[in-house]
Amino acid sequence: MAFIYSRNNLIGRQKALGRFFEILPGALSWLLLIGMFILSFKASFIAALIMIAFILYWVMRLFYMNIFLIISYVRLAVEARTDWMERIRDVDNVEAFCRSSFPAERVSSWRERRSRSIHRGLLTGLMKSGCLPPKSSEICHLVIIPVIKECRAVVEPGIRGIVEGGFPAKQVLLVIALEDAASDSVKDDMRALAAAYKAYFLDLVIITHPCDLPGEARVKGANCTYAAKKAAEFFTVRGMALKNIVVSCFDADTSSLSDYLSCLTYHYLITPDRNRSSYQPIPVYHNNIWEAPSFARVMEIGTSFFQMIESTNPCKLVTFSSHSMSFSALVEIGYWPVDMISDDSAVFWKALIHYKGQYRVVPMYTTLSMDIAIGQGWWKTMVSIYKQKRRWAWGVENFAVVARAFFEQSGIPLAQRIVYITKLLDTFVSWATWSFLLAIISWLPTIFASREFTTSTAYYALPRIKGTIFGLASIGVIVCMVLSYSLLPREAGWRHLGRRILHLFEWLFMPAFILGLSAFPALDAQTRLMMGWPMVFQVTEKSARKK
Amino acid sequence: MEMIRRVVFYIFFAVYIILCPLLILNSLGYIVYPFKEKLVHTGVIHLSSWPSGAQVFIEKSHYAETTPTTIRDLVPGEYSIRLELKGYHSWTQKVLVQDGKAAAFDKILLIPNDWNSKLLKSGSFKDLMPLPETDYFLLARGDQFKDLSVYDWKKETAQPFLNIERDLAGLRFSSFFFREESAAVLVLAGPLWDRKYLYAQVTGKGAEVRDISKLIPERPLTLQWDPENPDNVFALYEGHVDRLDTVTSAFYPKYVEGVRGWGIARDQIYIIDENNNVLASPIGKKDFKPAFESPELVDMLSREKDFYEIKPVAGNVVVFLGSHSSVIFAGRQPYLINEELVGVKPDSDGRLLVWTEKSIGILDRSDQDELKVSGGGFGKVRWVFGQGKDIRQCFWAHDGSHVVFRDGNNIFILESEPRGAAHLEPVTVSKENASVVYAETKGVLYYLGAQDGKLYALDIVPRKSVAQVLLMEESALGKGDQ
Repeated sequence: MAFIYSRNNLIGRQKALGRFFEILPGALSWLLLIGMFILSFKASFIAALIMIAFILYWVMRLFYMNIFLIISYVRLAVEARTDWMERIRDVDNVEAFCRSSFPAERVSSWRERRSRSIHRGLLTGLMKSGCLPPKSSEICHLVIIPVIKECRAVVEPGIRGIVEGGFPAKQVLLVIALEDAASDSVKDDMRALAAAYKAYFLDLVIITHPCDLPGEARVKGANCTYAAKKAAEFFTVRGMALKNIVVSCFDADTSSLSDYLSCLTYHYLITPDRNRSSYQPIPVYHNNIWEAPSFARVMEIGTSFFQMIESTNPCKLVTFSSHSMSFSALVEIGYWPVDMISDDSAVFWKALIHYKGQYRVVPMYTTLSMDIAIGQGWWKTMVSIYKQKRRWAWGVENFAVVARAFFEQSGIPLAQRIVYITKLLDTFVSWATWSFLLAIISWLPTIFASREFTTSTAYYALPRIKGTIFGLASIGVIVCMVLSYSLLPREAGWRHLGRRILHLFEWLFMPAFILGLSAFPALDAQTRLMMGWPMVFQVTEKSARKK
Repeated sequence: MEMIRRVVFYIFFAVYIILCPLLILNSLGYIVYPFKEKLVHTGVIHLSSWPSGAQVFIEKSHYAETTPTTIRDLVPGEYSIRLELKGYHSWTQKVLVQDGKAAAFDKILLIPNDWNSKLLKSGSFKDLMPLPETDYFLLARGDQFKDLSVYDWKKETAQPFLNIERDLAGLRFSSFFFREESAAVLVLAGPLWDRKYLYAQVTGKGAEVRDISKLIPERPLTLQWDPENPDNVFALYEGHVDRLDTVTSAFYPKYVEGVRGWGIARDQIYIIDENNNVLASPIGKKDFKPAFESPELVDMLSREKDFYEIKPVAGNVVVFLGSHSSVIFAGRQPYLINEELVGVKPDSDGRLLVWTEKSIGILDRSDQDELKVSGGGFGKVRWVFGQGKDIRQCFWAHDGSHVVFRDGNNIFILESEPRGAAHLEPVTVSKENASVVYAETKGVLYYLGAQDGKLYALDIVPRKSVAQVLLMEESALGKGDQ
């Protein structure tokens, strides 16, 4: 029996298992926080020793992540000027290219040398795999842009980017997945957009998703699935093979798409198991970064950094936000879940379970830029970010489904199941607890110190060790400062020296921002899931760019 | 990339596996002894002084850091520690360092070579009368009301005692009745044939005086009122208590009879009846019920024929002050002190400072919650000073680490938790028979000069802000190794 990738409509054992795994992350997080709180004043001495071990672990993990952040940044810098269309041509002629024993190329910069070296390695791997790709001219892209509230000014830059990009737009079917519940002005805007750009594409169609179809929740995945099914009919009618179609589902505010499709095509072609892979770019939030308040800017740069670090670990990488995958795989797995909020990562887990572990995410060292969720004023922006982070943290719902699948399905190797489940649990529990442990609970053993503890050497060692470790941790913050400085878009805001300097100091408040706008929403989401309280999908407000 | 990640992971994993136990062992005091190459379990000494910045000497070696500081990695044994700061007496102490333990001296008070005394009011005063645990004290230049002023030590301003009733200016006063934590004062004034009892509410602008003489037909042994309900005054006579309502002028003669002990506090009147039972009733209700169910307490109160003053001091602690013995009761086992206690003062940690004419002692609260008052050798009064002659006043100072006391006219400061011989230092000499006031929140002693009778303020421990103290302590704890 096929596994049902859903939290809803389960019965019997499946329901009980599902509920157990829904409770587990939140229960663990609360157990950790409350347990350490109680331990801090019941046995402050032991709590202090645990804290020392934890803080050391945290700082080492911080350094570990910093190393891969730097590596990822270097990879991004290496590929920044890559001509992906040229690379595609190399892949199209892979046999000839490999036969020529990689003729010496006259390249000046180390970046280009490194980029070409990676390229040659991938070509060699492709040849060795024997899974030669189709010609790039046979590849067709399906780009789905879900729209509900977004006006033309939000959506158009992305479409224009595809048109102006290197990859031929005539090989792109662009679908505006419009919710029927959208306002008339939004619908008019989309119709005007379709009329303006239709000629550039293989086709540009607006597919209107009816409200409240049976079995669906009001989530983005339902809209995208509906659009993808209609697109499948489009391709079938035209006799186009689904295995050569790559589907990308973008947030409506996604921009900087000019190089994306060529980069994606290259990665799709050069990946031997191309139809068993998703393709993940680095999300950045540069569209309105200089308009956002400092805490929003720092938080979203932090999100990009996290994805950059994750990209260096392909064997555990999970799709996030805008990404791409083989359309045939999407059809085979039954499209996106239509009743789950976190559809972007859910689709990966669905594919992994469907293909019994034979599915992975290929990182792409290119960026896709989106909006920072900002509201009218400082407070509304904070609320908006809080809700967005809580929605992301609601991805913990996938844990319950994935854990149930791993428990019930024996096809996936045990080691792989353990690795993924451990990683998922670790991610969600650490997301919700670490900031609280570091910022609040680590102080409690000293505050609630028992007489036994205050008369011990450990009482005097804890603040010293904490001070030293936090001092070391500031190196990690400096790395983030420097990298964010070099990643920021050179737009109007950048030219203002004062703002650039101010941006560096914004990082000093990162611990407070993380506590309030990351750990808190994560704990909120886990608690809601644990308690069985519903979570409603709320569309993040997108602002039209000024330019 | 995966290979790099794996290699880096294993390196970090190995570093953590090695570093974590080492760090924990180090925090527990284990170090590798440099010369013998063996693991040694060490201890630490934490020193925090006021003022900070004192030079630290261990045995004869000069330690690199100044106070506050933590000296780490000390091999167990006895060390002689000396603190030196210019302008202050050196502070020395023998410290026993035990393995894995910290010897903390976190409230060392360095005594200045010359105390900093500031003249507050010129002109000679005859007496200084504290209104205990309030912001005020009274200053008397003579024995008439016009000679009396109220001093607000928080604002360091003085106002005439009489701000409205100028017709009382020439009246002579003879006795004052005070109550702790109350800004009310009852004054016995006037000639023998025309005694007046004046009840005054003291404020920073002087006092509001009410004549309640008609409610007090004869001179009582003493008078008391509840600081939280000062309108009801109780007058104690031989065997009975009268109640006076100072607002409505209602008079309740023989409100309670047959008493051999009493106290007014927490909106209750406490009495010891003729059977040595301690009873309590809400003020104004006259509904007496047993206050404590303790046969041991009844037994102890019956041993002497004393008249006891009942004094609830802090939390559940009640002190019975008698002329031959005192009993301290904290809900469980009562504790008998076979001496007349002159006074009792709790501190914020629940400790009790008790003193007799000759001795000063401390009753500690245990780590749990109960005052250690059982008689089985556990938690007995820790007498920290026993060479007094006429100890009249004692105050907690420097957050309970010291005691300031007046022995006769001499003011001293004493460590409350000495390790070895207590550091006892003279502070100053006050005018004969005049009380002193120590304001702990300011760390200032107010007294009348022994020679000139002028009002002086002497800085014992000038207060720092809480933030300053915490910052200093945190930086001391976080400082590096030896």
